[in-house]
Amino acid sequence: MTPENVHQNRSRCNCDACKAAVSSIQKSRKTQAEQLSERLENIPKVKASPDFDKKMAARFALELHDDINRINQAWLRKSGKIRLPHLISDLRGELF
Amino acid sequence: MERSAVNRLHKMSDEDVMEQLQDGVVQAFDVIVHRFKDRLHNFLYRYTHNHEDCEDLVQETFLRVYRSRYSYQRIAKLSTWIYTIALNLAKSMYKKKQRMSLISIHADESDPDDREFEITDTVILQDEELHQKNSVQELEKALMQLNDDFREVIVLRDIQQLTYEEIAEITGTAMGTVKSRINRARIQLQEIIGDYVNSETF
Repeated sequence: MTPENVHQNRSRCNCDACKAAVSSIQKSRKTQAEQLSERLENIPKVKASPDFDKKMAARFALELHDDINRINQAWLRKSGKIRLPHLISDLRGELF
Repeated sequence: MERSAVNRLHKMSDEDVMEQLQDGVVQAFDVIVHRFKDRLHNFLYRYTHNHEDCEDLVQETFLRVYRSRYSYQRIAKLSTWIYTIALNLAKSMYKKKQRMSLISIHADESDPDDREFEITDTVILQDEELHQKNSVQELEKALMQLNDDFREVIVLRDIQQLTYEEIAEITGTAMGTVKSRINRARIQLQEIIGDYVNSETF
């Protein structure tokens, strides 16, 4: 290595000037990363729409309804020998 | 359910509320929705960039939480578990959309009824506001250009402010990988933003 290109690879060079240069680059990179991180943190937050709760409640009500249907189906399957009154038989027809 | 019981639910930790849901207290579901809806919206919006899709995903996430309530175990934080569900849903929606775009029919430019309209922004912004808006848009655009692995960790860390441990759990990767991905993602983001600045300057 010639004296001119000895400092070209600063990260490998052990002289004080190169060490200082490398550390300054690393510091500036760190600061940039911190700034970027701060900018990302400050991106305006996206919130749920005002009618989200209503829509969610409607979907959850359907989910509960399906849940109850599933439980009823399982019960009817298990208790096949039980004679059901006409009204419940009709409901049973709806379930299957 | 009595109001005092609902109030008690609101004072409980996330994990205790989940336990109540597992015990059949349906009102616990509303408490979970109330606590997580905005956080999930903010997280999933980075994937969809569309409010309607985002809302659908958030709803679906909550329904999955309810359906798989018995598979939740207290060894994990509830928030970590919910984010994992949301992330998996976002990923599968993203894949589905990519597949759909491959077979989509392009708009017929010769058809006057089939043109895309550009909606102009009629609000005149002050310099500072405009600068801030551009800066946020630039950052959001840059985020969308990151690859999925990088975007995922940077959104969870810098936007959602989760810990490295939580991110490792949600993404199912080692903590070392998470840290290195975050560093690499930040470098890539800086480069992308640098490109914007350069292309605007010259």
